[in-house]
Amino acid sequence: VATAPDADETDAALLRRYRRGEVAAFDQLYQRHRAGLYRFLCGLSGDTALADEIFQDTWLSLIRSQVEQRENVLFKTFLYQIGRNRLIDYWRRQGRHLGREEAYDEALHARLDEAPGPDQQWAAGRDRQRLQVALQALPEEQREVFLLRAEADLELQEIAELTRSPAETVKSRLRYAIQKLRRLLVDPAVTEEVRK
Amino acid sequence: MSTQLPDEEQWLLQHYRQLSDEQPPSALDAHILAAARAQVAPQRPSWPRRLGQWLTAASRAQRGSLAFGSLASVGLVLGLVWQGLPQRDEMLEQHGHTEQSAMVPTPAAVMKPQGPPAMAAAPAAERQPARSAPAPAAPPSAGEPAALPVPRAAARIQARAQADAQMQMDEAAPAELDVVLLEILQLREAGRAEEAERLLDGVRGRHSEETLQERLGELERQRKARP
Repeated sequence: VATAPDADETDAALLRRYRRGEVAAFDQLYQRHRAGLYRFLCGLSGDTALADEIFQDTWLSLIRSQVEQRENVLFKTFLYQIGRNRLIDYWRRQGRHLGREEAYDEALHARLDEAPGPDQQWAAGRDRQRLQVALQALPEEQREVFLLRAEADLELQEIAELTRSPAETVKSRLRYAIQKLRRLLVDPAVTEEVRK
Repeated sequence: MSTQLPDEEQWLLQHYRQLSDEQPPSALDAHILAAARAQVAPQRPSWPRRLGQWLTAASRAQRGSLAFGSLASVGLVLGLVWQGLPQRDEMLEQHGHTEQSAMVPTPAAVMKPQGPPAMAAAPAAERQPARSAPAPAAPPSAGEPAALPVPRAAARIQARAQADAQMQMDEAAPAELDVVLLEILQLREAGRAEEAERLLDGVRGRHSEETLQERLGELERQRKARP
């Protein structure tokens, strides 16, 4: 007899119940992670339409996959990895490559990325828009680590496993990302300088 | 590796989360949830698969029906046996003697002929004891209370028949004797004493002299007393 999912039930338990045919378990699982995954994809891709497409593909891939959640892997890690891989596949098809680790070192991380943000968001002057511009100004590896930390609430070790990167590299990327964002958010002049 | 972030980093993450409020479009939510429901809904399999499932289910059902039918039959038989045995015992207790007397001749039935009158039963039984009567029964035990009344009843009936026959003989004898004795008295009165004496000798073999003289005296008194 199917029972209503418990609010404290783990993601893996909800997924198992959904695999047994309990749609309510999937509803709860979806409500838990829909916003975080969507913002992660929006922030990482910088393209809402692309984020919509990847978001849908990610969930449909999860739905149609009959594999059970491995006990030693967090559902969040599993879910975000699907979304990340989908986005990377898309970029690859478009001739774009995620990860320029060879071109980045700790010295480069300390330098502000010169990628400009959308002009319309700068003009608004609002914090949210400034945040988005600042986020897009980050190198992709830093932005990815920051988004996984902020949206998925993953620990550094979990981020390292997901991105298949050394833990120390992840830690340094997160540190530099936070420093840049803080500087961009607190001092609009710096942001304006980046924009120029 | 320490996962603790400085307070500054915690503040920035919290600030970012407060400002980040993008939500997936509701149409996208509906599409994904509908796909999730459709995925767990029972799907119609292909016809070879349906055929295999039907055959499997049919054979399984037949096996189940056969097993269930066998169990039900065994249960029915056991129930009938358990309920039938006491009833049969009760019937045997209630009608046992009737059935037994109808099927197996009892000593009383053998001793008592169906057709001849009761008067002839006893002599017949006495004349042919080895041929018609069963072997003498063993002395009745405490577990066979019904075996005792049968010979007693037969003996009682036999004795009753003998008594009735004797009574009939006794009743007929005085009348016949009186006729002979009256004729003797008439012969004596007519002076034909010799004929009267020969007739009296004829009845002396069946009756005592005392009875004959007593009856003759009584009949003579009755003749004299008549007008």
